[in-house]
Amino acid sequence: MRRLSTDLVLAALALAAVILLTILAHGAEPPRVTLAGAAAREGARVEVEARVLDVREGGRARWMELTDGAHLLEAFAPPAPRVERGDLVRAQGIVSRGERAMVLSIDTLQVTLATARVVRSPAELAASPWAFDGARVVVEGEARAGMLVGGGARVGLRGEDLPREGAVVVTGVFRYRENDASFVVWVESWTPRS
Amino acid sequence: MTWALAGAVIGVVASALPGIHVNLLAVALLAWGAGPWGAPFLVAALAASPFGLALSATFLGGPGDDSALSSLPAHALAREGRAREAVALQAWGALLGILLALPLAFLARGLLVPLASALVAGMPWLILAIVVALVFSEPRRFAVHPRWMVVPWPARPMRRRPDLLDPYGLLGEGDAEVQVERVWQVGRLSAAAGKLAALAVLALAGALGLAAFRLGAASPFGWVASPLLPLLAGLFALPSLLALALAAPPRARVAFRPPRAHLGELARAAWPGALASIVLGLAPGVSASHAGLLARPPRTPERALVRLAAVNGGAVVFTLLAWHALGKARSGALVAAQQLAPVPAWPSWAPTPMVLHEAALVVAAALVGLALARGVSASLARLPARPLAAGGLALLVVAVAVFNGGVGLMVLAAAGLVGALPARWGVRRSHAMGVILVPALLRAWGLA
Repeated sequence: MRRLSTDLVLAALALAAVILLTILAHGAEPPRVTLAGAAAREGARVEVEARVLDVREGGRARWMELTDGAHLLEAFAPPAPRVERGDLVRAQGIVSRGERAMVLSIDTLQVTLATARVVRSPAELAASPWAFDGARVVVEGEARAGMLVGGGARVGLRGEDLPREGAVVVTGVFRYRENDASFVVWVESWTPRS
Repeated sequence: MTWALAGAVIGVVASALPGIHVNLLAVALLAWGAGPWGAPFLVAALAASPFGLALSATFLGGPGDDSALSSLPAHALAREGRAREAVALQAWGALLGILLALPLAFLARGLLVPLASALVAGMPWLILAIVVALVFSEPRRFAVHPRWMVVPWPARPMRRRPDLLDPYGLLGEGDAEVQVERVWQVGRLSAAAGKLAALAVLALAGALGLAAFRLGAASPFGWVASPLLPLLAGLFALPSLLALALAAPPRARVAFRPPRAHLGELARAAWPGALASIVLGLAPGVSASHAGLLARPPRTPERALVRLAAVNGGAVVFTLLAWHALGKARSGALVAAQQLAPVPAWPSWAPTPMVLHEAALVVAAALVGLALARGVSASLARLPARPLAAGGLALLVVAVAVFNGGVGLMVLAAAGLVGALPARWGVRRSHAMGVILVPALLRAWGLA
């Protein structure tokens, strides 16, 4: 009987210790770092804020490439929430050594700015086209001869329902071709600018 | 070759010390700006690491992922004063694992590419199967049914009903003093109760793993850290070392010489381990511990040691095979090695001269590792067991403090409590591998 009670006390202590660690793990906020800072903290849990450069869906996980403008970081994320290229995300996870480079294994992901909700100009897209490749974008500019012009830059327009000439707001998927540095918006819908 | 031999020696030392790993060597070499000689150095260190793990499993209770399972029988032998034998069995097991895995690797080369993609797709099911098999193979049967028994109790009688309690007069005529006691006995639910206890250990270790992985690891000195160090040190090494430090000194520690094992017997114990290690070459995210759980459970602790060490030895070969044939570096050492020198490709069935050269390097490093591990174990076994265990405990605590800081020490304490449960309940300690399996299972199924 004495041994049984010792066992129960030990089990209760073990359970309490695990619960305490779980509370601590979910309560503690990891330090927010840059992508370069994250790559230098192998094994640590960190928070990063970055733009999604690329997303590949797997069966039960997603591979993402994140950028903060200066550095890239590969990441694995859970299937939810839905993320698209160009989205700004806040991610928490553990940094580990992958096959090619450091990888962030994300456990908490939050989309802070979905790409399509921000109205952009052709100049913004032209400045870093690789960052928006494949993303749904809302672009405001002057439609002129199959192009959208604004801020001193122009973006090609493709699709079945192209906007009339004049000031318009276009929603569509942005595509960037690296080999000839061309970029276009595949138009899904458009409205004249009021 | 000189660098490779140096790598083998350093590989044994690095794997034997808690918190230090061949991957840390790789990081140090990269930071130091090593030349192309760094690649054979790291490959040899990787090949010799199972021999360092044998030392750590025996004398420190195996605070590393690769030695966690082998630490269970190794430490048990060490407590009997058979540490030298435990190291020798593991060293031979690792060498045989490498030697048996080499021809397997040459045969498996052609199947690797199609099998690898199929296995990656089936990983969630594979991990689930390992978890279910682990729980259902628990042999412990608990005493769960109460039964009333009549026992003689002359000093303090409770009842005096010999006519009812002793109808055949076994306790004597007349005034026999007896007592009715409730005893717990094995019954129909006993096996289920054993499996339930195994599941409880697995679940508790799993919850601990989830919490610790979420906490991450950060060294106060900015060094590379992993939450696995305090977790595995707490679950496997801490209870064993504490028991050894507090127990009576083991017998015949100095005079004991390990019995000479027959090569055929060792090879029979090693081949399932070498075979199970194929999974490491095929699937990413599988550790030697996972592969060790796949190998058929052996009947004796000696055979278990040989088999688990063979998994570690085979793991070296199949990790290198995946590196050459699939271009996948599944070890931090190989990630670093490919940054120091070009990876020798293995594009078809026939091995290239570079691959054959590397196979020879691996065997040479393993022989160095074998000699070194046996030599060091002979010296360590001469030391008194209890101070050695106390020193091991101190080394673990310092390593966790240095590599994982205060949070790591908390994880170590919690893991120590969970790690003490299997021994108290009499279930297998390998259920504590839930610390890795449960998070891996949840991640594979997209649940964490």
